[in-house]
Amino acid sequence: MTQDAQQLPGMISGGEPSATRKFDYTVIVWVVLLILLIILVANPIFQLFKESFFVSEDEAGGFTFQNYIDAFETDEYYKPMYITMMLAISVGSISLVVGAVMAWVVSRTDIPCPNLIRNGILASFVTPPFLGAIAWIFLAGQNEGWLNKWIRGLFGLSEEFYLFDIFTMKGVVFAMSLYSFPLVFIVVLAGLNNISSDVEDAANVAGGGTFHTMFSITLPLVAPSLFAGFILAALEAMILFGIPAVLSIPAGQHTMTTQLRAFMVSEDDLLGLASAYAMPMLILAIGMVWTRGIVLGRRGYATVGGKGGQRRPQKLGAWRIPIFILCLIPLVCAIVLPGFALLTTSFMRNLGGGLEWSNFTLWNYHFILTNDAVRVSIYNTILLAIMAATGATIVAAVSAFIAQRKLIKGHQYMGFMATAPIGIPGIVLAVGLFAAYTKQPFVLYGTLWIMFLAYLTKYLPLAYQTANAGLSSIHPELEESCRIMGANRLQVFKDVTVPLFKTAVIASWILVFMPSLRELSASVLLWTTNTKVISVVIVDFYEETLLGPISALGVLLLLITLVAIVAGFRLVGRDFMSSSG
Amino acid sequence: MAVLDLKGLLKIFGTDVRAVDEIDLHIEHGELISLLGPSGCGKTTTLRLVAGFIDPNAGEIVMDGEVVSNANSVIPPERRNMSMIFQSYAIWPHKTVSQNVGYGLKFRGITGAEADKRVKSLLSVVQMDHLGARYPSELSGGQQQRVALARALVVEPAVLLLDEPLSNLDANLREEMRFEIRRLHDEFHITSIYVTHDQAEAMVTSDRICVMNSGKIEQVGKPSDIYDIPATKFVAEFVGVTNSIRGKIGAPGLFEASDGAKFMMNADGGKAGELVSIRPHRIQVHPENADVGGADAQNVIDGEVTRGYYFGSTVDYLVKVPGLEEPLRVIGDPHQFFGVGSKVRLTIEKAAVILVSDS
Amino acid sequence: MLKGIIAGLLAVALLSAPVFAADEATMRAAKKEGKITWYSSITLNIAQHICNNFNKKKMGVKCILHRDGSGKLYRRYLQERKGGIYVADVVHTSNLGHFLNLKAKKIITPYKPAGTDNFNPKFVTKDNYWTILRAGVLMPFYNTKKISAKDAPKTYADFLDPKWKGKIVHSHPSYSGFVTNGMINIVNKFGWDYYKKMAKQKPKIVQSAAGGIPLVARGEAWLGAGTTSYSLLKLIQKGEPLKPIVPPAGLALVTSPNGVFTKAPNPNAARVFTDYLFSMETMQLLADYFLYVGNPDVKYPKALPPLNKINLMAIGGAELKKKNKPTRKMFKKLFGV
Repeated sequence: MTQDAQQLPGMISGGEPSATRKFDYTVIVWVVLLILLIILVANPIFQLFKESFFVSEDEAGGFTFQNYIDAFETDEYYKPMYITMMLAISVGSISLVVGAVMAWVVSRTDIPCPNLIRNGILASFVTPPFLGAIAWIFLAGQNEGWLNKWIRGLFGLSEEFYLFDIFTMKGVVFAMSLYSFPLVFIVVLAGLNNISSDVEDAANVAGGGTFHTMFSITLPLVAPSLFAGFILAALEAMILFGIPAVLSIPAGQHTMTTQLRAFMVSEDDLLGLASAYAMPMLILAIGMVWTRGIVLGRRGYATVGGKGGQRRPQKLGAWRIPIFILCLIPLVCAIVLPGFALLTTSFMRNLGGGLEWSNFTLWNYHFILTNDAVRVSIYNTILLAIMAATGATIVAAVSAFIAQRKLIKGHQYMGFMATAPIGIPGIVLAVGLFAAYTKQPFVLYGTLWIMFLAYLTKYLPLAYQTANAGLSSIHPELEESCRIMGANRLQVFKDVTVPLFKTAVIASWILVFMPSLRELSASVLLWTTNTKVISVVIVDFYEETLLGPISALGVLLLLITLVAIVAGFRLVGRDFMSSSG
Repeated sequence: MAVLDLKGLLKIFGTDVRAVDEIDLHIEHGELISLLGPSGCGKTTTLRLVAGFIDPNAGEIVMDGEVVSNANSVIPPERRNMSMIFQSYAIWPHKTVSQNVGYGLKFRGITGAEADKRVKSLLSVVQMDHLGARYPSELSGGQQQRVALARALVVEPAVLLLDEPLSNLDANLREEMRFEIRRLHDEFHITSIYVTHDQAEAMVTSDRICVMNSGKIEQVGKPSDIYDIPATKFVAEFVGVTNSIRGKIGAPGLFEASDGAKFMMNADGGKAGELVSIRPHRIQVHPENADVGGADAQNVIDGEVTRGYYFGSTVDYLVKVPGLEEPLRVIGDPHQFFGVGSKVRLTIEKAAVILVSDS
Repeated sequence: MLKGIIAGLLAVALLSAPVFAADEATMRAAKKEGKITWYSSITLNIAQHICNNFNKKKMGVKCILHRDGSGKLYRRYLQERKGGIYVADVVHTSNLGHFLNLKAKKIITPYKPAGTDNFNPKFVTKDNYWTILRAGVLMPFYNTKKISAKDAPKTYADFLDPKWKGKIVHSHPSYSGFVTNGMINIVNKFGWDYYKKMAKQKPKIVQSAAGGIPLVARGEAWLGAGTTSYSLLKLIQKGEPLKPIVPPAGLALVTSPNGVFTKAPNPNAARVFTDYLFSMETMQLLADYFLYVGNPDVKYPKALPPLNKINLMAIGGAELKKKNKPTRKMFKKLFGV
């Protein structure tokens, strides 16, 4: 039994054993990390908290509870909270059913083409939800939606008839569920892969049929995963900005995120009110994440790839094809139809026109590629995504390293600090960053740096968990042996840690890069003229209802994402899409 | 090669866990010393203190007259010119065997052809010369262990540290590697500290054994001394099996057990004590009423066998004797087997009755 | 008509030499500054067009456009000012009330753009804190494929007919100064009762004033409660199946001022750019985009009714300033967002 190796900060490395002694640079590293985490998490949350007790409009205003009173007493502000809760529960429940059943089907049954379904779900996972929502306007607009028109044509119904109306809360729930159920799928699939199929075989032997076994044995066994999946999907629905911005504002209904943004962009200074309004969201989100953590135990992340190969699949029998088709429906709704709608719309001259050659144009692409704001935003988006991915990966890798190798005193708090932002909704984070860095002495507002901070904070937990998982598979003795052979810590890091750690690092980089490309909820509060990103331009254009250019821009964004995924598969292999949700 | 001195070395984990409790130990040039003890005894912590992975709370480690660790300053591991062999081998999976072995050379200014030469020569010493281009994942456990040995030795370290190097090997391989380690030590004569909880490993490989318990050194000595003349009850019981008998010294050369039995022993310079240790194999078993000769030169005790397990090369008895609550454990000759219930006569040389301190 | 426009544009292009004048010293200083940032609420494609034209002049000053709704621009500037960030040089929104505030706090500084001497007096101010860059009317409209001219609403009250329930699109006053302005005029005429009834029609809410047009053009909504006349007419020109409604009660006239920030980081470039905004070239460009401008010499497209032929509703800056916030609050209360 070896004792836990503990090392203290301030280790001395003298050129001569007893001659001059100087500090090891590790001390500097950890001071830097600590400062970084204070800048990223502690200060913004503190400022958010502080602002919520001050009325911002008249600058003389002192300490007050007025913001809280305003935020929770007024009906019109209270209603979005209620709506948001309802959304979260509905989306969570629908995602739970769809995600869990599909995870079971893929993991446990003899469904045809399970990899098609799996990859399709991953594709919907990386599709920007706001793009999906916009595409669904084309598909399911009450009057002109293609699906409504098609059904009218099919049954010869009147102009008045419509089956779908995306501009309703039902439409919002539908769109959100499309992009939230993959979260459930990923978590439940991991849970299923951890359960031996012997228990199912035993149920079969005892006389239970396929579906009976699923409901009475398999699903109860993955109950913690089911719960965690529900929480993740509900949380996603709660903190999502894009879909409600696109669909629920026209429907005359704010959610908490859109209301929060309305405060922030109001011509009156409502930072205090916004801060107070953000509090329940913050607390709720953190509470949900913690609950999930407790339920799932220490295993906070799950891998999509998994090793479910050696199982005896349950026979679906006559249900095999019908279930396969059922499983394709969410995927068709999440990727195929929206992709088709965006692609075709992006080539349409008149949106009122149909799919005819006379209506074909490249104008939308010409518009976005010659528009200054768009060009700047493409540059910014890619730059920011690279910066965020690189920054988050470095910070995550170093802090995971320090935490796992217990390099410094207080190392046990490293993991906590790096994953501390995990519960903070992007838009709340943005309000905090706004409160913290728009005033002297730290004015970052108006620069890419503040957005970089937002992205870094938002995706640091994801990067940390990926890096930590990768690092935990490297035995500390591999590094110690290097050390004793004569390498100092940096050389050890370079020669042993980094090469062994590389796959996890690349995975973590791509896992941050991809969502950074489409980050909206924080960007939408932090952008300025020179720091627009693609997602913001899309929302901007949406507010101007420039649907053609939006479609072209959406196609462009999807293409960039696709390139990133392909690169990821090439560099790391299929299993890189692990998620911490 | 180097002389190592551990002086009053103290390491406290947390607030009050004294993992290494003010130990003193002197290690000679070219000596291989084992730190032997149960888990949690502080042996690995001691090793890691010597390596420089941990800094002491008090005391110092002196290497060839230079302080390498004390409470205020610790020369980092990479500056100590030591090598270490780890429990997990710690072979870098992304480097080939040759790259693993050659890694430390660049820090010693040895590169190019000279480095290749040394790597080749060391690989041949550990009989791995044909596998230099392999990756560790393509090697067996024993081969990985050999790579670890070669890697540690190629840099000609002043001190070689071995942290339970054989514990991950299966039994046969472990036995083979014990001899291999001793052979390499005899070839290179590197001052070595060998941490193990396996007494046989310590016996085979070491010049001296340092038995540790609860952060303290119980006894340091040659393997035979440790076994034959254990200083403490802990050593006697941890290294091999023994009969520990509680009592007091009645007169010089006579130990009176608490339950009444009396044992003659070599008068030991007036040493006081309340405990003696008698190794089971130092007790001879004879048939009932056998003529065993001079009862004043040795202890003669009659008893009854309560258990006898046949092991092929030995028989493991428990013999109930008058004046002792616990039966005596006795290792006997299998050619003369006594069944349960047999009356037997036991003889114990005076020199086999060792007074130990009760710690 | 299209030919006319092309001819107009060509004429402008030919005239494009020094169509506006800035003195040498200002010009040199502007070149040194190298850029000018324009906070503008005019529809993106027009704003971009102006900036692009300006940049094509290669005067060594680059126009950087930041287009957003009036309210958001106002908030943004104040927020940036609070943080000590000064990026914007020139501001142009559709909320005269904001300009009164900016003037009161001396956030904008007087500047009289070159060549505005002969402007329609309604477009210039005595103290020169701002000059009206363009004016438009808030125009209701409908989709001609969905509604026949006979059935289309003729008056504001016609919009409240239950048959249009769920088919109207309305812009949000919190984002659009144009819409706020129009709403205040309509409330002045019909009272809040009008909007209480309008809310019951469950209109789709879009943010920018022009945002409703594509929805109606696609037939997703059938009627627009009011949009910027210039965006509407431009799209009709492009062939979208839309038609304006001119209610007898009149249309709200919205004049959109342009000013220079006191703390403009590029003060000289700001003046050069402002001169350009009010140059004949830009004035004609705006006119071609169906906007009313102060320069009496521009040629308006035939489809744009002359300003003096429309029954106009108009409010002053002070009234706008006073009623701005209550209007937005009331809207949120009635319409939910």
